[in-house]
Amino acid sequence: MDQPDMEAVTTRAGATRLPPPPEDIQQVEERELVRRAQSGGLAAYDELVRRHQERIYATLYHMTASHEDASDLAQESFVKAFRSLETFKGDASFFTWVYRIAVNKTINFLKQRKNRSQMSLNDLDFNAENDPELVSLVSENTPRRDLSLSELQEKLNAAMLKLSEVHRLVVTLHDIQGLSHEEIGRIMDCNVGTVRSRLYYARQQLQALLSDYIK
Amino acid sequence: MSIPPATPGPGRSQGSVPPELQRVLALKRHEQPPPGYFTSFSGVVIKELEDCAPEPPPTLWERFLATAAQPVIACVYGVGLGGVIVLALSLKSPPGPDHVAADAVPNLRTLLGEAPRASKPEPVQPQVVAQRGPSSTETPVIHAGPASFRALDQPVPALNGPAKP
Repeated sequence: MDQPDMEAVTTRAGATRLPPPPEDIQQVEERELVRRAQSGGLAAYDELVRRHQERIYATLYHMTASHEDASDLAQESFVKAFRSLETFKGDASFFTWVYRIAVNKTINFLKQRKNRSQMSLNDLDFNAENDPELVSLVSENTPRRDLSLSELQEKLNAAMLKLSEVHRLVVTLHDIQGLSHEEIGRIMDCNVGTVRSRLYYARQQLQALLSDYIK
Repeated sequence: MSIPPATPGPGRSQGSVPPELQRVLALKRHEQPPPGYFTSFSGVVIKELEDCAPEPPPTLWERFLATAAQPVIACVYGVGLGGVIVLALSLKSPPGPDHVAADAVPNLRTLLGEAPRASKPEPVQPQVVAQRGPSSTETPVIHAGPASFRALDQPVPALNGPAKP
């Protein structure tokens, strides 16, 4: 007979309880980290920041089109989240909760700097030059064939900045970050129908704004 | 920075996204912060939290001083305190002019060398008390004044004249 699965747990009734899937383990770990951070544990909070820093930063960067602003806002959001940790009841995931703090902070920031549209874009990574889809985008599908990738990047960011904050946010979260409608609804505190309609309107606008650069 | 997956997420409806737009938006995923940015990011957050540790809550006196330093609040405190003082003085104030005149008269007389006027005793109304006893069963006992307990024990002559032996 084969060796029994060491991970499986046999209950008193004889039924075998399988170990929880990896996502559940991660959630349990995260809850424990949150609990320790709520007690003032900075090491636990450091781990939470490491887990979510890239996605939070990327969202704020796509919203502001500025590395400096995104960096400041991300730091402030994590600091504010730590100070408000006692209000976190665990109804939503920690990720959604931090996202909500960061997004609200960023929307307020963008409303204040309404008239400033100066961009401070990050460089494209090495993969962009080698991405066949992107290369073909600027060499074949673009009416202006001489457009480089960095120029297209600039045009895209300028078009994004012309969207309203909520429309830019929904495009960022869905079409760039890949979040589901439900997750976006939880972050933006609205229902899925609203998310879909905002997404549809934002795409229409983006397509119109970029009509000179895409077919 | 790890690039988010280019494939749509679980709730993503790729069909509704115009393909050209989707490809252009994919460009955004290649925008990267300076190398090594995320290795120090969490450290910066933690350092900020350590540097700005929350101060102990202010005492009541500190809160009062902090609020009283504002001109508007100081005015409110001033008006309130003034109102309390005025109220206290009005409650403690001397009686009205009538009382003042009445109290002033004896003092005035003293100044003029007159003896203070004795207060008139109130006239005592005669009281008729029915006395129960063998000698004067139906005779009422009349006495005047407060010290009349002794009169109760002695028979009182009839009203029409002294009693003859």
